[in-house]
Amino acid sequence: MLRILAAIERVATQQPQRTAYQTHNASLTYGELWHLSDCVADYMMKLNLRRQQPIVVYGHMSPLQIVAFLGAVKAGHPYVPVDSSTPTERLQLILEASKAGLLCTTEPLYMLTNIPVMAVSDMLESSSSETPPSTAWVQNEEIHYIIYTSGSTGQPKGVQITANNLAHFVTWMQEHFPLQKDGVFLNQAPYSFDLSVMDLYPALVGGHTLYAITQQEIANPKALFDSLATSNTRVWTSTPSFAKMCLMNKEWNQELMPALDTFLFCGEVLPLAVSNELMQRFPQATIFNLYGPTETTVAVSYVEVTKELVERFEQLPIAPITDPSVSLVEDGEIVISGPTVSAGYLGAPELTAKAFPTVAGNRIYQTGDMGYEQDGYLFFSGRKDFQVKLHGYRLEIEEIEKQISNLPPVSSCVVIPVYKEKEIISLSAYLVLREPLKDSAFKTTKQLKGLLSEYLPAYMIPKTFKYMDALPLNPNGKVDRKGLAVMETV
Amino acid sequence: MDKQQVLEMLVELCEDEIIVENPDIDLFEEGLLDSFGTINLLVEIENRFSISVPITDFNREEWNTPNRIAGKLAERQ
Repeated sequence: MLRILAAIERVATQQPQRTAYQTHNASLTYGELWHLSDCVADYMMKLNLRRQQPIVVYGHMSPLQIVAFLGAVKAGHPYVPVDSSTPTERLQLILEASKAGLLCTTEPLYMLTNIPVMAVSDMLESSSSETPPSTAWVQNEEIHYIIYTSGSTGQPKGVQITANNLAHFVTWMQEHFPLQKDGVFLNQAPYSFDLSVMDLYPALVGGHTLYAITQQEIANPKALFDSLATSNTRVWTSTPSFAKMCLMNKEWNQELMPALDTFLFCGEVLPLAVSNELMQRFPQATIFNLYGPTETTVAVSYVEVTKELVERFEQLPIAPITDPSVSLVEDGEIVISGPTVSAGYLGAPELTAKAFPTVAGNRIYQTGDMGYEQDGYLFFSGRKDFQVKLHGYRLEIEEIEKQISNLPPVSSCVVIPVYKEKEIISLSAYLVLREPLKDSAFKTTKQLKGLLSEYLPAYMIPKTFKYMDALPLNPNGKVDRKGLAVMETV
Repeated sequence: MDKQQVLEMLVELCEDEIIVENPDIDLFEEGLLDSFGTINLLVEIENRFSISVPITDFNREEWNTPNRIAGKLAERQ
């Protein structure tokens, strides 16, 4: 079976000068990536942490992030990527829940922690640059990375992906998508979002160049499109939301990105309108719609988006029904089986046992996604619970409600997704305060959003706050979510 | 297009009356517009006023308040 680190080592030995990773202002060759990650691993090994004790890597798109990821796994530790947009309280929760032994940073971080904090650049300086033995590397059923996702209990859940899970995933990617040909892979998703794994490892294992775009560029459209135009991207991986945003720029087309020949979309439903527009603007590109939750290693199924498919259905399918890894159970829930089913949630055996039951000797994952079959394909139809996708981010409504209700001025709260043309475009919070509004609603909202931003990342904070004397109840005495949802359809 | 129409559009997009009360408010700093909101803004401008603002001309520092947006649009009419 494919060994991720051994494959990257091969590239680093044979073509050390090749560019492994690039942003608009920094780059890293394979030779540097290999050597620097050895230094990081050497430093980590001398800390005498417990084998497989998690290491949190904090920061944003930069060469040293990738160096730290590989350094951790070379030293036998799973890494936990935490993007620098993450609020400190949430980072604190992740540090505690993961029982991490070290927090590595590639950006300044000001917070008190109970564990050692070390900048990756300082680790490189103090390393003796001994090469750690390959026997120390994370292997087989050991954990390679842990990604925290929104959890309905109010606590994020750490999904543990093993070396074998990752190897199977990358092999599957190589077998089904045109990834062999030389080219640049776009890296749009921050590393705390597992969509980034879809470009990261297939690119590195294949000896290709990753081109990472930063949140700062995304927030500044001019910089973003300048960056995309110079990136020479061949393989595009992003959420459909991100592509939809790019489509708003009429100049984003094959002419601007002549090398682009493959689109890989995952993380949320790919709208037909987006597919149609992409086909027109990028006639040389093939579009793939991939499906899979973090719990089964990024993605497990796909369809190639063809003209025929787009004309035939009102919504794109997520898999052919012949796909061996996805199936529907009686109540319509999608379940996933196979070698990419992860080791479950870190430190949460009950949650794991519930979501990953063993059926007829096989461990499966119950996704909570609902689906249906039609004309030989499997389609996604919604969620069993209150999980939603907003701009590709996976959110548990209950987690947001719990965090808002925990704020001192708030007595109770419900959060309702706002729909426009069947897509969620934002969230609205309905709040009951402990005391009547003193300031203007705007000031109160600003204050509450400020408090909330210490606990929740920006994408989880509802856009609008509406104040009520009491939450409306339905005849059963429960909060009338359906009634509120009707009000929130635009 | 007059300033009032621009403010009305922004109230709808940002879902907040504060825009009328304080047209010098920084829409990005106050979290009233995010990256996706920016794109929606450009689409709405085109739909309502038939003014096409290329995304690459949209510089956040110059388009950050209701008054500035109204001024920029007046220039392009």
